[in-house]
Amino acid sequence: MEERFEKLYRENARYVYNVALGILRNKAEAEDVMQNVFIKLFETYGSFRGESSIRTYLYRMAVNRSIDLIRVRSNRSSKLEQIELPQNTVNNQAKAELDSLMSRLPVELRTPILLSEIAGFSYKEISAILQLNIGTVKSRINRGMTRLKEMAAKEVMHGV
Amino acid sequence: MECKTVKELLYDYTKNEISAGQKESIASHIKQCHECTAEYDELIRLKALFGSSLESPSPVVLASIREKLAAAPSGRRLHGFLRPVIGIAAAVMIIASAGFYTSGIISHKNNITDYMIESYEVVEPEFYDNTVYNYETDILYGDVL
Repeated sequence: MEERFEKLYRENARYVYNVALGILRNKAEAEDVMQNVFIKLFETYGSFRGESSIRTYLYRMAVNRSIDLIRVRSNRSSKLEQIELPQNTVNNQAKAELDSLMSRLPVELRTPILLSEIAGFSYKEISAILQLNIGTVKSRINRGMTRLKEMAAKEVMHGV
Repeated sequence: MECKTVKELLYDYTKNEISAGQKESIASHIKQCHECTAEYDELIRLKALFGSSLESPSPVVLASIREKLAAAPSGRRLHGFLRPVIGIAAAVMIIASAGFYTSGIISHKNNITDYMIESYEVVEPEFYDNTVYNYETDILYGDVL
């Protein structure tokens, strides 16, 4: 592997995986997405001019492939997403709480939050990855975070 | 600044994607307003959950990706690797042909060496225009979600 690609892989593999995992909520599928996007990127990365456009493209592929998988999955069974998560991804209390809250957010609110919180992208970068305008990105993140706060408050009230 | 405005800008504040003036107003508002402080603290707590919940992909999968990448064709890598090999091969063939020619075995040197060199001609990789966002013009495209 060339040094430039090796660096890109080393610095992003874990975050790409966690973004895909946050969207799909299924470990095996997230690993498949990670594998597919890096191999696909490897075939074409020579034509990229800058690191920032490579990262944008990488996460855009990961998000699109994850959403495609959700669509395929929802055609097969609408219940699969809810069934697989607890067995595959819950490792500790913090994670259990986050998974429980995120599982109740629709994917269009979940995805920009994951890109912001896990991969650390700016609004501008997220707008490029999701091909949405910045206003829409901000609004979705704010709506998503507000819902997360409301759900967390309800869980505290009900002693969950 | 009113509580409603502060709450709307809290996430931007945590991301530091806010003007210096707004940043200052929010910081001073949070110091005085218990409700907004609680809101801010909860936001910080939720954000921390993301950081502490990161998982690592399976080492087996990571190793498998590395293996596949090592074997996968890459426009840039393959051409970079092949260029010296092709150059050396062409040079060896030219020298060999010249040797045969001078020894009288081959009398059509030019045709044969030309054919050999053409056979190993390097094909430039295709150009992929993967630009997804133009930061200078701020051009954005359709909604995928």
